[in-house]
Amino acid sequence: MRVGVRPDDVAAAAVALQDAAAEVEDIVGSLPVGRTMAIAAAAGLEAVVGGADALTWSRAVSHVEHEVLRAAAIGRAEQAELATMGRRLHRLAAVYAAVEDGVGAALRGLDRFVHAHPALVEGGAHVGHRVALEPLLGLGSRLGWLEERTDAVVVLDRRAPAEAPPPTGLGDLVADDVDVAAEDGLVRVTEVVDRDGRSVWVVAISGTQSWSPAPGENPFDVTADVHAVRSQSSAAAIGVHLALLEAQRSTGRDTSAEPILLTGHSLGGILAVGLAADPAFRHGRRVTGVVTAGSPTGRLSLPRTIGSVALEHRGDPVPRLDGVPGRQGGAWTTVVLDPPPDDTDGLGSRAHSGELYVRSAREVEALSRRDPAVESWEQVVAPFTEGEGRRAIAHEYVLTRQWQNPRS
Amino acid sequence: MDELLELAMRWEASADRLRRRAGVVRWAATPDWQGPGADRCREELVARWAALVELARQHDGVAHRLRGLAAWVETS
Repeated sequence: MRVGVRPDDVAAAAVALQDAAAEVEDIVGSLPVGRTMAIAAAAGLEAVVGGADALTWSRAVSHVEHEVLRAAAIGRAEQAELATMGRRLHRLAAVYAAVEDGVGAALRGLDRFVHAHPALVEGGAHVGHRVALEPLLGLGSRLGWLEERTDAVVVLDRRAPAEAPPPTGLGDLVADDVDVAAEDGLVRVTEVVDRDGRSVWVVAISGTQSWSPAPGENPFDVTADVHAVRSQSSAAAIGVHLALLEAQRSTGRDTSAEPILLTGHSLGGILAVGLAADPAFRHGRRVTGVVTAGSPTGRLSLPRTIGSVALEHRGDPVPRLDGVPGRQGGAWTTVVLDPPPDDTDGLGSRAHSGELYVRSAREVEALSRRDPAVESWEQVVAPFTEGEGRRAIAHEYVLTRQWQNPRS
Repeated sequence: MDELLELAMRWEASADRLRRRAGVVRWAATPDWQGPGADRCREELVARWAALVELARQHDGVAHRLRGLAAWVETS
């Protein structure tokens, strides 16, 4: 793995320096210094004997001698400099390689540790929420990081609505979340229309796409992560709200009674629960369910009228970053799964992958089909995934965080 | 005089070799590697490149003097 240093490049530079030192040494060693001065002196003397001006001869020969001696001295000094620097770069390349190996090993170790000790991650995150989050945000704001600037606006780039396959189960819903994460800023609002012409809405929200602490154009970033987990507004949340608003308005009818399901993986799940919990977002809308995969949502509250389905892999550290266990009971259903060790390789990062959550969601779905009892999570997703003769229209929006010029 | 011109050519040839080697050193300074001390190393590589170019210029200077001497011998 690469951690920012490039031992190979440094080693290549070291070789270039040592080759240069060898070449200069060869040149300096083969310079005809003495011969040049002797021949110059002899040629000048010959000219003087032939009648040329002796003072001019003396000056010309002296110039040659001076230049020759200077070139030889500079060459020797430069050869030494090049050789010294070449040796230093070789040592530096070795240090870089050691750093790279060390950091790589440490990160792999941490990845395995968080997978093997989820409770410790949860405990550590609990303390971190109390003592570290505010100072971290304070430090970030001084650097212009992790802050939603007040002059930021979210711009929507709307695509033409297109026919899409309607979701048929939990697996399709999670797959949609993973799919939108592949494109910067993408939000997909899918209108599912049943045989009788009644519509329901599914909003697929992406996980974190940009890992820079400095807020940039992509609103699905670390800044959105820290704001969403603290139930604060973010450019991403506003963008999702605007996308749903525009998609529903485009139908030209009153959609306020049509059920809405918000779904998301990782950050997308936090945003989904945060929006569903926000009375301003629910105003004039009927949000009935939320599906999350690998999201820390335990600190958020939802009205009892909204059902929540949370998928968590036991070795995934991300759902534990809020420092509290996933909720159970009432409108909350947290399904904790143990993916096969071969799929995670014992790594927390693999356990968090969207593709693995899609597979788990499909397995949960397959199990429920074999069991006649209706689980509570099935009641949440069924209105959006079941029924004959359904069709779906996908409304896609690309969100961009932009900044207003206060003087314009 | 022929010997002077032959020597001048030898100094010019070494100047060419130095310039070629300087080009390789300059290339080594270009890669976008990061890490502790990387900026300083890049600066030093550029300094070595400049020194090699200056050394090549010095060799050209010797060759120029030798050609000047050859011309003076010929005319006197």
